[in-house]
Amino acid sequence: MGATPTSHYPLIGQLFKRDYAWLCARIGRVLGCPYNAQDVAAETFVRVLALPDPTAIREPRALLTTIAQRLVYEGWRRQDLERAYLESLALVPEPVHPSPEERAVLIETLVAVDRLLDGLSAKAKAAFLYHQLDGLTYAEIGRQLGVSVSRVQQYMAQAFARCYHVMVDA
Amino acid sequence: MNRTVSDGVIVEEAARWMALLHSGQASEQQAQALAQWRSSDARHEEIWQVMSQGVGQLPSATLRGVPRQSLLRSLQAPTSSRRRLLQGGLGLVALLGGVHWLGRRESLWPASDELQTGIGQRQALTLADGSALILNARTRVAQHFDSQQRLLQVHAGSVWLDVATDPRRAFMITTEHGQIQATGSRVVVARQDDATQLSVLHARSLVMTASGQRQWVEAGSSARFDARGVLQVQAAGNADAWTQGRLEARDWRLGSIIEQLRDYRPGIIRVSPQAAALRLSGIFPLDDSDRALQLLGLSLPIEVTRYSPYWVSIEVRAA
Repeated sequence: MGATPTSHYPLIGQLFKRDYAWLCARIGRVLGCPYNAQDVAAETFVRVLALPDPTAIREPRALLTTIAQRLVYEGWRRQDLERAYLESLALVPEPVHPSPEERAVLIETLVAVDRLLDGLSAKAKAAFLYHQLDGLTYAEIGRQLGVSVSRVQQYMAQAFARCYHVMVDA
Repeated sequence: MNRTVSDGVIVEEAARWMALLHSGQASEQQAQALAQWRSSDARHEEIWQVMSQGVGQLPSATLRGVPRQSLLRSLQAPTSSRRRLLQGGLGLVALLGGVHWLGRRESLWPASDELQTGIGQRQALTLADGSALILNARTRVAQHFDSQQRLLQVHAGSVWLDVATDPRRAFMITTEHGQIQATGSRVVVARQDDATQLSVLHARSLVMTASGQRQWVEAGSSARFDARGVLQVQAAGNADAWTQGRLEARDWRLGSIIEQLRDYRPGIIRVSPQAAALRLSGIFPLDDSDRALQLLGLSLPIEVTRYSPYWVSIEVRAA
């Protein structure tokens, strides 16, 4: 992310003055919490500031809404992942009690993996992780998942394609 | 970056090549064909490189420390219903006047004879012989029924069991601490860290500890035993209150109460040793752990601090 040319600041300032309260109100209706809404709105402006060319924005409110929507979604997904992770901890045979710091790192990691593998089937995700993390062969993965080796190879291809798209869509 | 339709085709090709390469089964000719494919077009090589960088995004080092099942299960986290509302855009959600997150829990029943409940789940079911079984939250059991025996292994958590009479087959409940012959009786068995607690609600049951000690336990009594022997026999109290979603404490340590609440609340509840030693009696709702914590805060001189829904800390209130 490159530095924002300082010439953009007056423009962003205008945008902020005109639309910040509007955006807070709009997000606040969704979240039901004014403080979270202010956080999301502030982060939205930070992201706008980081855009390569903020002067090219033609429909500021549409852009703000789109970015805010993505932020709200990311926040919720993070909560979903955190909840699922904590629940899953309760199910492993050897109970794990990570410290709050370890947990925070793990949740961030989960968010990153979730984003990387988003859209893949549960089996394709499992195949990719078994291969990349545990070095299992396709035959071993096939046995774990109850599918053929050629199916595992298809899952891997889907995961590799996804890895490309993540880089390009970022 | 401009992507064209043909890029999509190249990405698919590259992905298939990469999957073949990672299989470890690529022949010499295939490896050569891949090298040729990469060098035949600058765009091929470019996409191959970006894809490799994408694969490198996987935070492998951290992930290796996460139990695999835990990781896979977490990634399958259902997307809460809020997202579906959100997909209609912020405008639509605003129209609906707010969103309510609907608690959802995946049922975690494997296909095998092993049964398991997660945090906050209770499960009632009927076994093949007609016996009724209720699993408490965070409980894991396995059943082994054949023509000779009816065996229920309690690996973790607690069960309520109303055993059907079968003159030919005894009903045995086992934990690592010993066996319980529960033929024809109604019992609650709780597998704790260091011991097993049997409470007999109806008829009587025979405890056989792993060391070979035998003891009959009558209705209304409760026996606590470990592998070496029976530790204590006392009145059973309301050992089955959890089947109704209640936690009934009679002069319990706060630590023991929180221990039970943990099965009903995801996240961490930290209790200071001083607070854990406080004693109280009362009835608390298991299915509403927020309310239970609130009630505890009203009944005892303690400070219940919520750092997040998943991180609650309980300390003795400063004087």
